[in-house]
Parts: sequence; C-alpha cells; structure tokens
Amino acid sequence: MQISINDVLAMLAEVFEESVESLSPERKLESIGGWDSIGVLTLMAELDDQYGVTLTTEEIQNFATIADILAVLKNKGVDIAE
Amino acid sequence: MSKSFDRLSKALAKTLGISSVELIESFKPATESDLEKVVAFRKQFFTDGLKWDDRDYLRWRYSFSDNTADSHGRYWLLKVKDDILGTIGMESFELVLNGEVKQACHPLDLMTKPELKGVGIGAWLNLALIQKSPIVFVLGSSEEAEGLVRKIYHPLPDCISWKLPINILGSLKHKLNVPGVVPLLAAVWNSYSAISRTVRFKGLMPENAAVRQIDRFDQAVNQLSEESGIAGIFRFRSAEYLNWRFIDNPCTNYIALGLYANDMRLMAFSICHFIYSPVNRQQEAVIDDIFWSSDANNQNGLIWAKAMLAETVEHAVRSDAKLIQIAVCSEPFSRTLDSLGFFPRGSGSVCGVYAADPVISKQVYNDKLWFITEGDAHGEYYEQAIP
Repeated sequence: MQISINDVLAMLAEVFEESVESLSPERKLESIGGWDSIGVLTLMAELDDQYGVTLTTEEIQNFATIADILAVLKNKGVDIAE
Repeated sequence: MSKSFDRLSKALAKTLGISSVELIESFKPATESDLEKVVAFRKQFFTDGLKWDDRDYLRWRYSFSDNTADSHGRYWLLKVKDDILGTIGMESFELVLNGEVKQACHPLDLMTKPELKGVGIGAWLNLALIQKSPIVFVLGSSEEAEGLVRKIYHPLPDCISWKLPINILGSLKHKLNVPGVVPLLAAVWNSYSAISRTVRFKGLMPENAAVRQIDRFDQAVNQLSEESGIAGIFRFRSAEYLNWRFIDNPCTNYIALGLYANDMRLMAFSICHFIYSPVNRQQEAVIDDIFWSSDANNQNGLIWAKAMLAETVEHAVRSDAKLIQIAVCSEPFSRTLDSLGFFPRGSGSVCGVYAADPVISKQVYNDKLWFITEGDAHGEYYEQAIP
C-alpha cells in the first residue's frame, strides 16, 4: 500500500507531540522537543506497528533529520509517494 | 502503562535482536558475581575518576544478594548474553503519605552502554522499574534525565536551591575584574550580611534548648519522625536510614546536629557537608537535610525548624563556610528560608512521582504536600569533596 509523506509526518507529529505543520523532511530531529529517549522508543514501536519496520541501533543513531527516517522506511520497502 | 510497556518492550527487543521475553528476563538485580563486571561498566562514565572506591559505593548503596531483609535497594541490570546494556539502581524507602507509611522506590545510577546511546534504553529501564514498585519517586538533574522525569512521571514542583552568602569576596573576585574595588565591596556587603544575620536569628533559639553534634542517630529520631511537624508527604527518617545514608556514607563526610529541648528531647536535626568550590575558590556548606518535630504549642513546629536552621548556619560559619546552600521542595519551609535571609538561586532538581494504583496516585500527585530535601537525591557523584 502506498502512503504519502504527509501520512508519515502525521504519524511523527503524534509520536513527538508536535503539530504536523511544524514538521518537514528537512526538520532536524535535535530541534524537536519529543526527540528523546522515550520519543525514540515510541517511534520504534509505531514504525513496527504501522509499517512492520524494525530499526537497527545504527539507523537510529544516524538519524539527523526527518528525511533520514523517510529514507530508512523507503529502504525497508515502505512505499512512500514522492 | 502496562500495555504500552509491552508494546515498547517488543519494539526495543526487535531492535536489539532478541525476543520480548528475553528482554524482560534480561532485566535482573545484580548479584555478587556481577560486581566486577558492573564496576568495569561504570568506569566508562567516570572518566575523571572518583574520590572513593566504586565497589565501596555499590556495596553500601545496594544489596547484591537475594537476602534483601536489611537492604536499601538493588542494582538492576539489563544484561543480554553476558553484555551489560544498561543499569538502573532502585533505592527502597518508606514514604509517609498523609500519616501512613508506604513502600516506595527511587531510581538512580541510570546508565546506558555508550555504543547504544540514543536508542531508548534509558527510557525503557525507567519504565521497567515502575512496573516493580507501587510508588516511584524520582529526581532528575541532567537535561536528559529531566526530560524523562517530565514524560514518564507526574511532575512535582522543582526542588529550589537557596543560598546564604556569608563572605562574597571569592564570588566577587570571580565575577568582577576590578582588583582595587572588590575587597572594599565585599567588606561592606559582608558586614551588612553579618548584622542582618544577627538581627534575623535573634531570639530564634527556644529557651533552655541546646544544640549538640550527633555521632549516630538513635531511637529518638524515630519518635521525632512520627511526631513530625511536616504534614504531608515525605521520606520517613528512621535512625537506621539516617545512619546508613549519612553517617556510614563512603563518599562524603556529613555532620549531623541535633536540637534538644530542655527535657533533652530531640526536637529537630540537620545534616550538612562541606564542599570546595573551584569557581569561587572557597569552602561552602550544603545543608542536605533538616527535619523537625511538631510541638504542643506550635503544630507545624516551624519554631524548631527556624532554630535548627539558624544553628546550622552558625555552625557552618564557624567552620569557615563562605556560602551556605540548601535545596528544598516545600512551600512552608521556603518561606522560612526567605525570612532568614536565604536567596532563591533557581531550580535545582526536577522531581516526579509515579503510582500505578489510582487511589495512591491521587494522594501522591498532590504537589503541595511534598517535603523534599537534597538528602533525597544523591549528589555525591557530582561534586568535589574537600581534598
């Protein structure tokens, strides 16, 4: 099933308790208040539940922007429309 | 929380390449056979070294055997295939909750394997711990710990730090680069401070009361705790707890003072220690704990609290402390500090509490009833003791 970038942003907005309008692929994760230990754990659970994606420790540690999360999802077979 | 914990555990387990069951089973209290491995793991975080033997600290703070009768807590490890991924200490203590004593715990020593930093293990360890105790009380002092406290626990009012400068020469020298003026300014302010203290402290000591240093706490302190003038929620100060926490502490030397009424009854006590401030290049005193009894004529006992505080300040001044600090979360006692000339110096630790039972949570989430002091934290790791 194909999903849009906005679908992923909406999911991230819920995970990080941010407004969806404030999120974009360019947004740096360190600038997001919810990007912390509990936020990371919640993101891992959400990606597993929604897309069946398991993140590796290296992938998580290399996340710098939302675009990095989108790239990993695409690499793991999630069909995200451009 | 339990359902959410299961979901988060499943996700973390997958990332670590193990099953949820393995993850949960890998979270266990450390035993004697883990000690050397634990010491080696912790050494990564104390790159500047410690002024004490970490083994002494661990053996003092935690029980490494399953016989937990006299234990003050266990040190929990997330150990997968003999590899320690993270640790969290669980100090057990008695919490007085509106007159009733309840078992509670306080997480500390939260550490995550550096190679796994940022993958959520710290949050998971906290979540795993709160499944194991009816009441969890937490203090966070780092930015990361504060974020965890605010998200996982019910936030309590911050512990506010207060200071009472006695001699400001050191701090002025650090802040102002005007060598000729600084000693003069300091002398003027120090004289004002001494006069202000004399006026504010005058008549605080009840008639026929006396102060004595306490070498070891005895049963008198248990009675004081039971008759405390502090209404609300606080840690029960038993002789056994105070002797363990302060007198037998392998990291810091504490000084305990007792205030006795004319019938020699213990009415209040305070505990302080001295630190050397490398910034101001001076000796400073930290009041770690203060506690007082109620009184037939003074239900809240603040008369004893004020007298005890004033005597502790005088003791610190005689011991050459140039600054006296205290951190406390308590509205009534904050007013006492203000009236005795202490200045608030901003937020200290962020405090939070979690209780799964809705009846208990309704009681412990009452922000105004908590009485928390520096002694409830464990700052020994983060300060420089006097050489």
